[in-house]
Amino acid sequence: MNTTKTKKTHNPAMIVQRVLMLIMLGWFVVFLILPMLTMFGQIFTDDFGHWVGLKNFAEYFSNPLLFSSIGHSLQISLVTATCATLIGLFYAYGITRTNIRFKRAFRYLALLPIFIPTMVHGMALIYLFGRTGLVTTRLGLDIGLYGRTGIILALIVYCLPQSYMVLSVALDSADNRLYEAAEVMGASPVRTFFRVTLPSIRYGLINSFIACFTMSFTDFGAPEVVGGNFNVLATDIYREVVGQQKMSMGAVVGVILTIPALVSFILDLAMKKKNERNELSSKATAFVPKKSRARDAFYQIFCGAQVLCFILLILTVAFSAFAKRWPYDLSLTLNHFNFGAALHGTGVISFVNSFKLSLGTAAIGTVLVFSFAYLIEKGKTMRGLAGTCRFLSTMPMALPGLVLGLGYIMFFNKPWLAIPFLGIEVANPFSGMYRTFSIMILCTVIHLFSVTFVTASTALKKLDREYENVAESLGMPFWEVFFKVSLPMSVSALLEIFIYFFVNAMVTVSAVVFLYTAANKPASIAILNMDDNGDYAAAAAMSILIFIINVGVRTVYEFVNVLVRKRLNRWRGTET
Amino acid sequence: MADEKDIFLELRHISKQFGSFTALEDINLKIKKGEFVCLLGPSGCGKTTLLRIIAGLEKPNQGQVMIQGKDATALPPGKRNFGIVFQSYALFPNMTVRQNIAFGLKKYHLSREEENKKIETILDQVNLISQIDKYPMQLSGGQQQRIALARALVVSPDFLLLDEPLSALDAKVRQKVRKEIRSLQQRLGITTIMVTHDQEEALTMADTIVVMNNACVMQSGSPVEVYNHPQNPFVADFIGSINFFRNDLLASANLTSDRELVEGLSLNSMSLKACRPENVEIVEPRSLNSFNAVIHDVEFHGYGYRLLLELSGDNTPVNSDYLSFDVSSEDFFRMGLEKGKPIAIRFKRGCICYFNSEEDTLAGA
Repeated sequence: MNTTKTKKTHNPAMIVQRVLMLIMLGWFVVFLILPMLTMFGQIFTDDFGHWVGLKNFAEYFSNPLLFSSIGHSLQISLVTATCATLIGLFYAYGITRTNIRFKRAFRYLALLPIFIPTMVHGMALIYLFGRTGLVTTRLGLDIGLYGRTGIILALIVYCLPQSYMVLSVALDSADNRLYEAAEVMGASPVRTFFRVTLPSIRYGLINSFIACFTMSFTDFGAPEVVGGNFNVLATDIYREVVGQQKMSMGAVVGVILTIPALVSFILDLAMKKKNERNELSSKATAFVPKKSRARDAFYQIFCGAQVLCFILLILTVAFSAFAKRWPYDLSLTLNHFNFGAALHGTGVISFVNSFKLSLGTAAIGTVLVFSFAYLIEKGKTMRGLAGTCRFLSTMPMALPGLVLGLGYIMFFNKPWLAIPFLGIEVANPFSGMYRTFSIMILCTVIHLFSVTFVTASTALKKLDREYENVAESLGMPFWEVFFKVSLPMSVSALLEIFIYFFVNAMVTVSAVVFLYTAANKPASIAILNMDDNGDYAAAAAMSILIFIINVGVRTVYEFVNVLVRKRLNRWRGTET
Repeated sequence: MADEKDIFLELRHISKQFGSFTALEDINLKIKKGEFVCLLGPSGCGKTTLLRIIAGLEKPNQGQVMIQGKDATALPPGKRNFGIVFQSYALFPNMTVRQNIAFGLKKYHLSREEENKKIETILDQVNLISQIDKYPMQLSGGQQQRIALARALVVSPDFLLLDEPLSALDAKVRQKVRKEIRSLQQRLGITTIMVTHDQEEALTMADTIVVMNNACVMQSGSPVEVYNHPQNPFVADFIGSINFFRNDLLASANLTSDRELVEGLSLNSMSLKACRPENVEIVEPRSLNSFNAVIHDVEFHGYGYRLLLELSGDNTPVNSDYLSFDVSSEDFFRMGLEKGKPIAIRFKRGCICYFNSEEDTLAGA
C-alpha cells in the first residue's frame, strides 16, 4: 500500500530561506575562509609562490631582531593586561558597589578612549612626556617615554574601557542574598571580599585579562607611534609587508600574532560552557551598598582621577591641535584644521573617506549581522549549516585586524585561484575588488563581526521562538515575522550594532592598513602618516575631528535610544 | 471501534528520535471529528513533540499523519489548516490585538470591511471586542490567552491545537478559562487536541484522555474510564491519588467470607493492587473483611480530611509509608477521629484495581 513515496511539498518560503542560507555561507567562504587559507598557505611558500616547507619559520627564528619581538610583545601585553584589569576592577567596583556620586557620568566617561584611534593615546603621551612634550620641556621631567613605557601607558588607556565593561557586568550580577548571609554569619568585609565577591567575578577577571592581553598583543597604533626602537610583532608585520614587500615573512609573523587570540578564543569557549552553571538565579536580589564614608571617599577619588586622566589626554590632543606651535607657542589658531600643508592637502579627503567607511561599514554590517543572526537563530532549514555559520561568526574574534587585512591583500590580489588536488586554475572572480573602497568596508565588517553578532543573536534569542511557528501554522512566510515582529522588536539591538560598527570603523587602523590606497585613505591612517611626517598638529587636529564625530554620533544614539525605549514602553502599557 | 468516516485525524506508527533520545515510540491514535482530546503526561513524556508532529512543526522519523484520510506527513504546517495556541501564546508584542488577529488573514486578500468583520466576529466570540486596540502586554494573562485563541480561530481552521494553554495562568483564572475554551469548542464543534500535564484539566475538559509516559501511550479513553479503570499502575498513579499494595493483604484481614474481596485481595499475590483514598470506609472493629489500622496523621484539605493510616501487619503501601484515606468533615467529627486512634477500615466492594505488573512504573516514583 505504501507505494507512493512521501513527496516533497513545495514551500516557497523554505526555498527562499535555503537560498539565503547558501548566500550566508558564500559570504563567509569568500570574505573569511579563503583569505585566511591563502594567508596560512603563504607561510609555506616563498614570495613567488614556490613551496619551501618550513624554511620561512627557520629564517624567522634565526633572525634575532625578528625573534626578539615575541618577547617584547609578550612583555608589554602581560604588563598592560595586569594593570588594566586591576585599575578596571577598582573603577568598576567603585561604580557598582559603593555610594559614590556622579555614577552616571562615570559610566559614560569610562568609555572616552574608545572614540579615538589607539595611536592617539600614544600621541597625547608624546605631547606631554615626549622629547618636546609639555612636561618634558617646561618641567624638565623626562620619563623616558619612547619604547616600552610609552607603549604600555598608551595600551592601558586603550584597554581600560574594555576591562571596565567586562568587570562591571561581572560585579553588577551580584546576589545580595549572599552578602546578607555573610553578614548574618559575622564575616569580616575582607573575608567577604575573598570568599564571596572574588569567586563570583573570577570569570570576569580572567575574561578581562584575556581581552586586554589580546588587544595589546595585536595593537599596531601605539607601538608605531611611541615604540621608538622597541620592536613588537604588530610593527614587524607592517614593516615586512609594506616596507620590504616580504609577504611570506609577514604571514609568518601574522601566524605568531594570531596565537594568543586563538588560545583565548578556545579558552573563552571552554569557560562559557563552565560558566553557564554559574549564572545568576532569577531569585537573586540586587546588591545594595552599605554606608561607608572612607570607602566612598577612596573610590570617589580613584574614579575621579581616572576620568581626569582620560580628559587630560584628550584635552592635550585638542590643545595641541589648536596651539600655534605646541608646546612653544600656545596661542590658539584654527590653521591646523585645513590640512593644507599636511599630506599634500589630502586631509579633508581622508576625513570624508573615514566617514564613508564608517557609514558603509555600519549600514552593510548591521544588515548582514542581523539577517545572518536571524537565519542562524530562527531559521528552520539546514540547521547543520546554521551551526557551522554560528561558529564562523565567532571566528573573527580570534583574528587580529592586521592578519585579516594581510589575508585580504593576499587573496583578492591573486589573479588566479588554484583549485587544490585538481591542478586547475581559474580566474579569481573577486580580484576586481582589490584596491576598492568596498574591500575596506567588507574587511572592517568581518573584523567587527563577532561582537555585533553576539548582540544580534542575544536580542533574537529573547524573542519567543514560537513567533515563526505561529506564522508557519497560519501559512505566512517567515519574512512576515522578520519584518513585522523581529525587526521592530530589535531596534535597540540594531542601533547598538550600528553604533559599534560606526565608532570602531572610524578608529580602526589594523584592518585597513594593508588595504587602503592613496585615493581612499581613511583618517585614522592619515593620522599615522602625518605623525610619521612630523605634522603633529595636523595629526592632532584630525584626531579631534574623529573624536567629535564619534561622540556626536554616540550622543545622537543615546537620544534615539530614549525614543525607542518609549515606544517599547507603549507596547508594554507602562507609559505614564 | 468508531466508523472510519468519523475519523478526523489518525496517527500511524509515529516514532521520533532526537539524537539518541527517543521522544516518541510507535504512537497510534485515532481522533474523531469534533472530539476534544487531551494528551496528558508528565514533562518529557513526548506529548508536546506529538502535538508538534501533528502540526507539522516537527517531522517524525517513522510513521504517518493522516488528516481527513489523506497522508499529511510531508505537508508544511501552513497547508494543514489548523489553528494553534502556544504555551507562551506568542502574541506579537508590537502589534495591537486587531493587528495580531489580522496577521493570518493577510493571505486571503480580503477587503478592509471583510477583514474587520471577521476580526470583530471572532473577538465577540471570546468576549474581548472592547480590547481591540490594546497591545497584548497591556492585557491580563487570561485575556492574552483568549486573543491567542482568536488569532488561531479567525482563519476558520479544521482543527485546533493547544499546547499547555492554561499553564501560565493563576489557579482561579485557569478554572474560568478552562470552561470558556470548552464551551467555545463545543459551540464551534471543532476537533481539538490539547497538551497538558494537569490531570484535573484533562478530566474536566476532555472527551478522550490520552495518557502518555516515556514516549508511549499508556492508555486512551474517556475521563471516567481512565480514572476508574486504569489499565496500568502508571495511569492509576498519575491520575488522582491511589494506594498500591504488593503483599497478600488477606493474611492480616479480619475474618472474611466475601468471595469477591477474597479473590481481589489474595489471588495473584505477586500482582499489584490499588485502591483510591475515597474507596476506603471505616467500619465497626472486627467486622468482616476489615483491617485494623492506627491513624498516623491527619491532613485538612478544606472539603474534608485525609487520614494517613498505619495498617497492622506487614501491609505498607508500595508508594508510601501510609495508606491514604479520605473522609468527609462530617464523618471526621462524628466518629471523633484523631491522631493515634485505632480504627478498622474496609475497601469498598468492586473498587480495587489490580495489575499483572512486575515493574514499579509509578508516576510518583
